[in-house]
Amino acid sequence: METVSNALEFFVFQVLAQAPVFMGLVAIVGLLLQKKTAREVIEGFLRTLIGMYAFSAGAGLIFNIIAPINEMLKPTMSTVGTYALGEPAFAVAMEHVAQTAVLSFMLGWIIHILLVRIFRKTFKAIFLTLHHMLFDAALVNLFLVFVMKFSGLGLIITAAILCSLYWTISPTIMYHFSKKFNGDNFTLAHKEMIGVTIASLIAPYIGDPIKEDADKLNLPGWLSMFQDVNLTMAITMPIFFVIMGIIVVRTANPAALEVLNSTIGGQNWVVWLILAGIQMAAGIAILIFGLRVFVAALLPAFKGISEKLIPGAIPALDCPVFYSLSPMGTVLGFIGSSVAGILSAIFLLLIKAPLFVYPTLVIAFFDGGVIGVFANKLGGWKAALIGSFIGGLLFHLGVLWINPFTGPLATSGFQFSGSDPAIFWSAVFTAFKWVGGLFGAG
Amino acid sequence: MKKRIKIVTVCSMGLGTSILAQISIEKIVKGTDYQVVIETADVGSATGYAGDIFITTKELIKAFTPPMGTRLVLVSNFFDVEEMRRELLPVLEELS
Repeated sequence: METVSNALEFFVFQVLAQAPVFMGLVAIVGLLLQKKTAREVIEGFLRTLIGMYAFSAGAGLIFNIIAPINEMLKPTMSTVGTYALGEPAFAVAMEHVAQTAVLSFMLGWIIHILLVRIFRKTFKAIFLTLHHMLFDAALVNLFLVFVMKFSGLGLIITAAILCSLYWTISPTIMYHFSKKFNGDNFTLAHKEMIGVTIASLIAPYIGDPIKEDADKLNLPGWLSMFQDVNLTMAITMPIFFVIMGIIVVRTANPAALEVLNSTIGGQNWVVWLILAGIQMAAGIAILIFGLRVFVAALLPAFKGISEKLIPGAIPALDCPVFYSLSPMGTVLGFIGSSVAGILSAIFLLLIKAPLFVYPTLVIAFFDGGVIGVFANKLGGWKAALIGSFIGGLLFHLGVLWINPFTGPLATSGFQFSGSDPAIFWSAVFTAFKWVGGLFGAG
Repeated sequence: MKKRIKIVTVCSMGLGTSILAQISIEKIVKGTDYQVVIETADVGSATGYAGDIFITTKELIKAFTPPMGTRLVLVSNFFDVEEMRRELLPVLEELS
């Protein structure tokens, strides 16, 4: 017996405790469910390991940059900067709650499938944007562990239930709006339920979707450059960093200047900040590369299972599938949310807020873009601009609300993105904490 | 046995829709004797991937260039299996 328990202990603490190995084993489950050959399963396992180690390396690269920049901002403006983007935020979460987050993600998905299967008349769509499900599970885990002090099985089950309810309700609400222009083809599974809902509700009052269709407008083609996440980062981050640098140097706080000088080590600070911004883009590229193999190993299995168990369910998919329905709505959405992000940043600097939120143009493209599609289809181009502007305000300023709920993520320089973490999950966590307080927990 | 063809599906991040495209392709080749290997990529790094066929959408092709000597298949919707079948099968047949 003792050898068995020793072997089990070895397996749990030496093998499973390593997040990449754990993710690799989960990938094996996904590949086996797809009835892949032995060769493909081993390949998938090894590629997931490589991907997850690359993921940590990418995370290391961006934290080496964001950390000194925040060190300079703190004494200068008594603020720290945070950048709302799921991938690096997930990387931070994985250092603290990797196993429980992945387990609650898997259990949550099973509950989600059962809910849709049992309540088919009410809930019609299956959530299939797997990387956002991982991010949701990680976010809920951070809250439950660091704010509510949950652990073990209770943690996994509570997180799984909260996530599964969101994954079940959110695409059904999105379907209510998308069926008007996209029928039963597919609907949206994205962390932008709040933004899309608000834009879709006000759109019909703003304009006429047929007479004022954005896709009849002629907009410049170079805007499609923002499709490339890495380029968007490489263009915008150096600009933001240099603006921050100018503020730091102008204010000339001695502590901040010392951090600056020791970080750049003789290099010109403007050059250093520009290259630092580009290295951020490189780090994000590595993060995405790392995550890709894992998602590719699991998503086909998830899709296969849901099709077998719930034939005829509407697939709820990631936002880019919507862009082809209204390319110009996407571009207007990007513009509206970008303007909102830049105005939010200026506002936070002026009121000397304790947390500064960088304008996230990557999210302005993805989330703002999908808001633009819904709003254009329901209220024309003015609705696309106004709806995505409101969404942009929510997912930039809302970061101040969600941030204190996220434990170590709150001081990492990154935060989960989108109006659902910023508004929906903040509201859920506030309510959860209040109820917990009634029972003396948390 | 037909030649093994490597297909690269390209979307903005290589995380969401390109994997849906992968699923569509697997459906299409299932039951045929085409031998395919599918990899997903993002527009930023897709040019650096090795492959025989690159599949992307009509919007995304504006944001990257497929490597020299590869075949490009453009679709309007990754999720439309019928459109994918129509566009992809002739190219597969030619290369196999």
